[in-house]
Amino acid sequence: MIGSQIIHGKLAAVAAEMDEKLRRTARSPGITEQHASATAVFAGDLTLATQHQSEPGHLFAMRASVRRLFDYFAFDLAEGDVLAVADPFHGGTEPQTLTLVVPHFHDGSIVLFPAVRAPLADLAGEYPGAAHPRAFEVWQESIRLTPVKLHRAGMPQRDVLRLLGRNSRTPAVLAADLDAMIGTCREAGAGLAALLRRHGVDAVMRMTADMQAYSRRLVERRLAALPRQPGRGEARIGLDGVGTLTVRVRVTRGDRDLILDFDGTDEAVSAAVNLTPEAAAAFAVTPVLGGLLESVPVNEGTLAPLQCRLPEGSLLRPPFPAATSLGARITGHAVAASVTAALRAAGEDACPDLHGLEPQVSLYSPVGSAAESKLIPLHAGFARSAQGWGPPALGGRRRLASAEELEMRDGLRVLDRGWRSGGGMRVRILNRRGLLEGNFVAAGGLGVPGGGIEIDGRPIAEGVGVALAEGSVLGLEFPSWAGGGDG
Amino acid sequence: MERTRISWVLGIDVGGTFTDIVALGDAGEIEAAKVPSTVDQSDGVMSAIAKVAGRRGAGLSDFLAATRLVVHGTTVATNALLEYKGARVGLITTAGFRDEIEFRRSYKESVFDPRLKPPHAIVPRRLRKGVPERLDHRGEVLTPLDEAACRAALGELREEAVEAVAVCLLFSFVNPAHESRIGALIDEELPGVFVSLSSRVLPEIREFERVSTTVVNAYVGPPIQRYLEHLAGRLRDGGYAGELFVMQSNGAVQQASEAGRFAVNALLSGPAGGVTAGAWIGERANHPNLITVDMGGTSYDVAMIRNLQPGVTTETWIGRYRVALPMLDIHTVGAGGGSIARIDEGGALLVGPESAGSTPGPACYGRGGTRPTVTDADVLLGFVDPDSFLGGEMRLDKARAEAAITRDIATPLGMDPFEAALAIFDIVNANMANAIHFVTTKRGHDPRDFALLAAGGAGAIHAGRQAEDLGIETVVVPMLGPVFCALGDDMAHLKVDEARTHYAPLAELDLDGVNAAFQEMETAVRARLAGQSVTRRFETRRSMDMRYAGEVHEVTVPVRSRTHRITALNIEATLSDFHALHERLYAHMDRAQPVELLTLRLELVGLRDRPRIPEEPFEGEDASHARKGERSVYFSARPTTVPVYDGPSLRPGNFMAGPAIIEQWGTTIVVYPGHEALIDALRNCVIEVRRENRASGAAP
Repeated sequence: MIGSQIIHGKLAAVAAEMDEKLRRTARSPGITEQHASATAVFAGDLTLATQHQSEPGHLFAMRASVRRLFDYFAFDLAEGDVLAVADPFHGGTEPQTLTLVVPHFHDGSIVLFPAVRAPLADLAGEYPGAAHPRAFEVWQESIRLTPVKLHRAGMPQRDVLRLLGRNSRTPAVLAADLDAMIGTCREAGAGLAALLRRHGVDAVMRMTADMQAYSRRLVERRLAALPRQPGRGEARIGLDGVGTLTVRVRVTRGDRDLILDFDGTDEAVSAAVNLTPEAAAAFAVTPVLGGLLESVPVNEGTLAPLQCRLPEGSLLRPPFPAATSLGARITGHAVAASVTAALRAAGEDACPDLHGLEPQVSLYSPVGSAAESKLIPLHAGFARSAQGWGPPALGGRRRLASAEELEMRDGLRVLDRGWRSGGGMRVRILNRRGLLEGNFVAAGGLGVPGGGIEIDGRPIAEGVGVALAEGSVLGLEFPSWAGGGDG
Repeated sequence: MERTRISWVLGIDVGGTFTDIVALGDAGEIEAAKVPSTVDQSDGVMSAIAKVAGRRGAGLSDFLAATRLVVHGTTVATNALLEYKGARVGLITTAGFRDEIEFRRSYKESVFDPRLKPPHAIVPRRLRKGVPERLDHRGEVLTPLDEAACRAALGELREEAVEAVAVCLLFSFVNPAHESRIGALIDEELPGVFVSLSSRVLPEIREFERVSTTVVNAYVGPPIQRYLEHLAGRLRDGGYAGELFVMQSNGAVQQASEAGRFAVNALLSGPAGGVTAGAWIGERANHPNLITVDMGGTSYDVAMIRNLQPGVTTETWIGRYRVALPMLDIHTVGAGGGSIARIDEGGALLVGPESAGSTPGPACYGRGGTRPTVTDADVLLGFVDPDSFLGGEMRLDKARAEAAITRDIATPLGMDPFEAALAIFDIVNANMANAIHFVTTKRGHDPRDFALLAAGGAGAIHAGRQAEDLGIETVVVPMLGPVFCALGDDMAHLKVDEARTHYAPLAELDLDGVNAAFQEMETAVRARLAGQSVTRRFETRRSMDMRYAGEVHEVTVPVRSRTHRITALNIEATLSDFHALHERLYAHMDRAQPVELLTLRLELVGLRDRPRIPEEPFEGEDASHARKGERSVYFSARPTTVPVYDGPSLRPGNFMAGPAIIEQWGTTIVVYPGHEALIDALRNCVIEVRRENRASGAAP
């Protein structure tokens, strides 16, 4: 076990260094500022050896996307290949999030290899960026990048790369991001190769399996501490133009596993709030694992004891070609809230809320006004977590925009930003940049108002391509899931 | 008493357990000592000086009278912040922005931990006052400063009996007029209160980073000012007529009065000395690229020195507060001699970050500690002689170490105690090696291109194993390793940093504006060094923080200019350097991408005449005269009989093939099997490491 710990420590260090490198070399704000990426090392049998992430949504999707890639290219893999997929219906979570893999061969076999997963700035769709509150099919949100090779045996596939660039409103940013992802994987691959040469394939694989078993034991111990009695929970969200949606779950503890059965959850809707099964599973298990995600190595063993049953055709396993671009940001919170409620109903008191809906805003230069768009994913505030401090756990590691940078770089003047009397955050922003357009959505539900958006005092529940004229003031209210201010 | 012609420079570093002193005489005399640290740190400082004076046969006052410089590394600022025992601080901000210090740009140390506690509020909300005023990003006034509202806010802070006021207004780094006026109002309304203006402390873009740094400066300012005035008084009363200097977080020293005003610069006052000493050793021993590691009781500090220049960062968090000033890039992990070993629920062996500290300390200290630690493992494995710990000043109880390891580790894992101790040793070594790897690779370097410099009481026990793990070929254990930070205090130059945000696309750069800004910055830093009399030799270094448009990370690029005035050609050369540096750090560059200038930086370095430590001639390889015995050491499950050498008896040129143990005052050097140790002309122990890993690449 000691040797296994040491080897796993090195694999975890590889994943952490990948994360650091990706964040510093990419250019999409989703990676550099919002830290919405994940990195991982996989074993040749496609089990997860270790994963590093700052957002829960990648928990199952990384593995699912990698497996889809290897299924697709099962008999067509060579040293120097770079594989990529960005499709909610190929193991993804939301449109425009790309999974990239660089398989490495060791004495002719794939033993360990790195993978990264990150949101891209823009990959076509009806509006710039990924969030499209009025989408009802996947192509409105993005092109579907089904499994492709970006490099074949070390040679860049210029036709594929050109196709991607031509389908982005931010081609330079896209190219930089792809370079960063490939560079990150290549560097990690060299480190993994050195590890295998030094310790030998058999020892490394045996030790990786040891650590997967170790993680599994720790998760099983966590599950064993849960009440035997099943618990039911539900959570509702409200969205303008869609109505109220309900997620229902029954949580049942087995001897060594936990079943989260979402039978009874509402059917998929003709809107962007559907959630892919991989994303749904991630949001479902996060309240169960909670703080364990900080201390237990995330690998195959972490995920193994957790079984999610997601009804076909439901909001959580929508039929193709359903839209999903807001599933993780809205419905994912309902999934987590329902599981928390179910655990509490079963008698588990030590189960804090992790969710926290908040208004979603992305601004961009008017559609069609230029060959390249200016995209401003506006993270100007955050919901206050149920524990009363900082953003909720499901918010990940997103970084609040600096008011001075917003004004100097983007021409958006933050007039004020502070706690309001109800305990949440209020932000007012003056547009001094010229005409901008934006996609907005403020979902409600889960027992707390979902926050509000207004332009020049006029409330907006949701909208796409909404004009934000020069001189207009955008007001954002972020809810407090704890209630009350700190005075 | 000895001749009193010798003139001394004293480096004095206060640590958690010991206060270290290195006294260097002008003819190469060296005296080093440790005394217990004290609650009033000046007591320990005076004891340390008295101890050295006694060794030289002098009284304290005679010795102080013969001292021309005292440089001090202190933990007063650090402790005030870490223990939240700083001043009562009020904060003035632009109206509508008083909560930025609490928002922390949404940063949480543990994202998924739903029970993560909020940071201690060093400025509670009721002491945070927004005042009407507003500048735009060009520094033009949108809303004039409302002085009446400001006076009213200050009146409320007076009622709250604040000891310090921090001021951070939006865009004050472009136009400091409103902040300066508030500073004057504070002097009127709250005379005697410590004032911390963000436009003086950190005139750079990004309001959270600036307000946090400014507030921390206010929080630690009064305690460190009080302490330094108190210490200066005691030194003066003791007969010292020279100036008191304080080691700063950027690795340079500064006058005590200046250090008090910019107290936030003293947060890494202690560890910065070690890195500075590392650079000095690197220069003297011809190792320009070094990774310094300092393993103490509770932590393991890692820093990188490249081309003799220590790495600098502006991304430091201390006590859960952001300090965005340029500080030495010291990466700390919770792995020290006191790190506690335990078995978790899944059967894994964890070592640290929980530490037994110095009280109760490891089980072998016999001070009530019962949980096994790294030091207990080192004792049981035979690396540390229980009878000669700290030069024999403290005896360790091996039986207690064995009992603790047996009970908590060996029995649960079904091992014998030696296997369990080896497991602790291997885990902590792996944790430390991973930290070294992270520090070097995140800056785009390969650890194999560096030598490893091991300091601290336990650093030289573990360094050889870490070097093997990382493919590092050379380990340097400095002669004064146990008092390394104090040595750095002796060797550091003076330096003042100034930064100013100057946001512009590089293609549209206003050269006159840049030159004017650099000129103003130079005038400001020269004023800050004007009061000292240690040196009049100055060196100016200018650099620019640049980035590709759209990036959020800047790269600091030295400006290539042979003249005072920066020209278009200089900018072109600097831009070329930016692309190259970007590629090294981030593996890509794009000359077609627009580049932005974000911040101008200027360093004024006051070059001191460093104390001279003479090299000694080599006396031959044979080290047998220093051999004092042998003992059983567990490098693996079976013990090996290993020769033990008396470090102080070793002479330059002496050579030892591993395995061997060298017992120095305050530390033990382990020469692992296959490694070779040589005492160099400065009496550093230089160990060549087995090279089997070099060809196979650096393990992650």
